[in-house]
Amino acid sequence: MSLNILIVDDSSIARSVITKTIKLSGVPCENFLYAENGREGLDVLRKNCVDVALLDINMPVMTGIEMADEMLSDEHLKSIPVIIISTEGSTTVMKKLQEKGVKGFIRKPFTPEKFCHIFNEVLGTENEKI
Amino acid sequence: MKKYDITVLSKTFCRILEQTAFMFAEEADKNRCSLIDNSFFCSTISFKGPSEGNITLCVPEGISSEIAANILGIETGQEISGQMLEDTVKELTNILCGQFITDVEGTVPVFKFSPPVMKKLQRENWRALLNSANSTSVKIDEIPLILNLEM
Repeated sequence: MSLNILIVDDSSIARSVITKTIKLSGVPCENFLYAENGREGLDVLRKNCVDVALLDINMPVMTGIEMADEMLSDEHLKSIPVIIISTEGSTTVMKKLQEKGVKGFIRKPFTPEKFCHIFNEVLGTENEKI
Repeated sequence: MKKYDITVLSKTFCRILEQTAFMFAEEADKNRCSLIDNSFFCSTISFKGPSEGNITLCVPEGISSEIAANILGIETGQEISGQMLEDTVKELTNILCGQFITDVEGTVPVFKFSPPVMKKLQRENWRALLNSANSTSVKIDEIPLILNLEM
């Protein structure tokens, strides 16, 4: 299975580096979709078929946490796994997000191996690697 | 409110530059730093939690394109837009701030971070920022970058 992956980050360089790193990780990806904040991210999710959403936390307009909250309370979006990609290092914050239903965390800076590990954990893509 | 050691900030920066851009920086004597550019990207993030303050990263425009090229994995000299250069400095500040806070506070406390705010600094303001008691400097190939921690 190749994945449609949504990347929500207000930084153009972060979106580029995340895309490049996922490609290097060997995670099978079909298509990348992008949004600059949580509000745009929700619009993309409602118009496209997305397998996993990667969210930054600290963004203008709507944060990644607010977007995850909306996704988890929406019948049509709550089954899409959410992975947080952020500089956030507080285990207190991560625990709260996990309790809400967030599936994984990747802390910046990251490596391809980290993506591979988290995708395997969250989506079971291990046997799908190219 | 405790005051953080600014030398931790420079050590954290050197580490993340190596991890993100595969570039090596070293702590510099700020009294021996020379002005080498006319324009600088200056990005600031505020943090608020058990302590509060601002972290600023000031990068000469010239070296910012090399850093961006390394982070993006493209050839140095390939054209990179001004917006991408600004985003590079903002993203580095973002990572610096998050990593620095856990370096000094550990992973239990909760902090809120502002989005990075970018301003261009001209050469006449560069020396004043460097001379601030709250500033330190690191060098990449003799090119000085300024790190500032206001609390």
